[in-house]
Amino acid sequence: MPGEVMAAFRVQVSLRLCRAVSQGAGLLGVRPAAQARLPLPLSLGACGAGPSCRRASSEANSDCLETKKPEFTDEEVQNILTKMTGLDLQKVFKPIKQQLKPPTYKLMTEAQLEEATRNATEAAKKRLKMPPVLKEREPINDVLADDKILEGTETAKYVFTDLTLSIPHRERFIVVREPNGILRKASWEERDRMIQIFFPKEGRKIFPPLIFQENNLLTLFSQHRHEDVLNLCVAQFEPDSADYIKIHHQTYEDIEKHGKYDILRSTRHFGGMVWYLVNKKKIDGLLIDQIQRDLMDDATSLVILYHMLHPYGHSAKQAKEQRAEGLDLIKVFAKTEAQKGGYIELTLQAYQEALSSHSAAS
Amino acid sequence: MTLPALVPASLLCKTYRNGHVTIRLALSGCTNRPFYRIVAAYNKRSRDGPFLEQLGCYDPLPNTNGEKLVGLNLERIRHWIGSGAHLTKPVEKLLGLCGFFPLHPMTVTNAERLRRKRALEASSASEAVNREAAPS
Repeated sequence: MPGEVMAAFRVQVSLRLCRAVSQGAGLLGVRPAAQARLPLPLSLGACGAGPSCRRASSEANSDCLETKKPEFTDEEVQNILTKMTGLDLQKVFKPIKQQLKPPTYKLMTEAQLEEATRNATEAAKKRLKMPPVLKEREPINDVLADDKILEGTETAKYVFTDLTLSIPHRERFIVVREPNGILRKASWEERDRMIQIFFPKEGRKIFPPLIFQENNLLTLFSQHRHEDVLNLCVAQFEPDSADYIKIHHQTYEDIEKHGKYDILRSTRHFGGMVWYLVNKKKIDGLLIDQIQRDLMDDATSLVILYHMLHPYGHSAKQAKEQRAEGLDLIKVFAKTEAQKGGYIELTLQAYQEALSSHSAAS
Repeated sequence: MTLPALVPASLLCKTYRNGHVTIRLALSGCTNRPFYRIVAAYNKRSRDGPFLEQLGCYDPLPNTNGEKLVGLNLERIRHWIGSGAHLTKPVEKLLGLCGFFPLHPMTVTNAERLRRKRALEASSASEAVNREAAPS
């Protein structure tokens, strides 16, 4: 009976529970389990980037076999990525377009200045919190009822949204009654649109702005405005939607093609970019860029991250045999799995010569 | 005085004799552009006047994607129905369409009537075509 459908699927339990939920940690905030709401199908690893989620997934990782692939949300991975992102206060607190007001000047002692710098560093760390990297969401194809009698009575479809304030947006019921009588769950795009209409979020438009079309993106990339693109993308789309992932990948590809890694350094998108490049095995350009800027710690941690994610490649095995550290790690990687191995070795040589000449001079 | 059980009389400035709470559509919008709010109000109140609580909205004109949007605050609707509110036929039909209630019998009846009318029209149209075709 259609009337009992809504009651029936509140009691059903979704089969695709997230790892964190199976571990017992609350996923979508701290919701009481007694109400038994139907969570919409979440892909594995769909956790918000919160400390509780990171703990849950790292616990899950330690419980599982050693062949478990490290996720974006692991403690070690996050530490490496935050270290590589760096913290340039001048860049994080760059002047933005805002209401014009006359500048204020403060007279401070050394101690007060240190205090202010410390506060600024804390605020910058909050701003550099990385947006989540999730797998693409599965399309929703759930039919709740099929009433063939209603076929042909209506010309337009009805979209019903549940406006209850206390449920999270992911669990909201949004159903569509088609003109042919089928009552189905709304697709992800329809869901996002309805939630934006009834619960508008700042910075998000109902229809995605034209700036996200191919040619407009290329114009922006030629103007070196990758950071703006990514900020707009994070504001407009959900982290697991196809558009979000596609635009992010496009931006990262363009950066990698032209070697403009420094645009994203000290922004919250650097970690995501590094994660994408390491997964695609395209870290050569980034390595060269880091060695040229004398960021040897970052270069070594990048190679360590690469070995964590691809532990069965030549590079990782050789490194383990030789127990290479620091520069030797990079040399091993350059010899075995790098596409631009020659360039990396050349840059390393140049760096070492510069180091030795500098130490000889001083 | 039949007040709903869970609503304290202190909240209500005016009490009605033999009145009851109703969940109904209140019309707002402009000329040639209706827009309904799903509202819990005393049944003696004017249609668009002061109400107890707004429980949702219904836009009868389809938007650019061909959708008619209906928002329903199901938790509060459940609360008012539990407190003894009545429902008008359009609200019952909407709730039936969305699956919260079973399909309203008049929805089914109207659908069947429409189907029969269309079948009759189709058969009479084909008869007319046959009659024109037969003598020639």
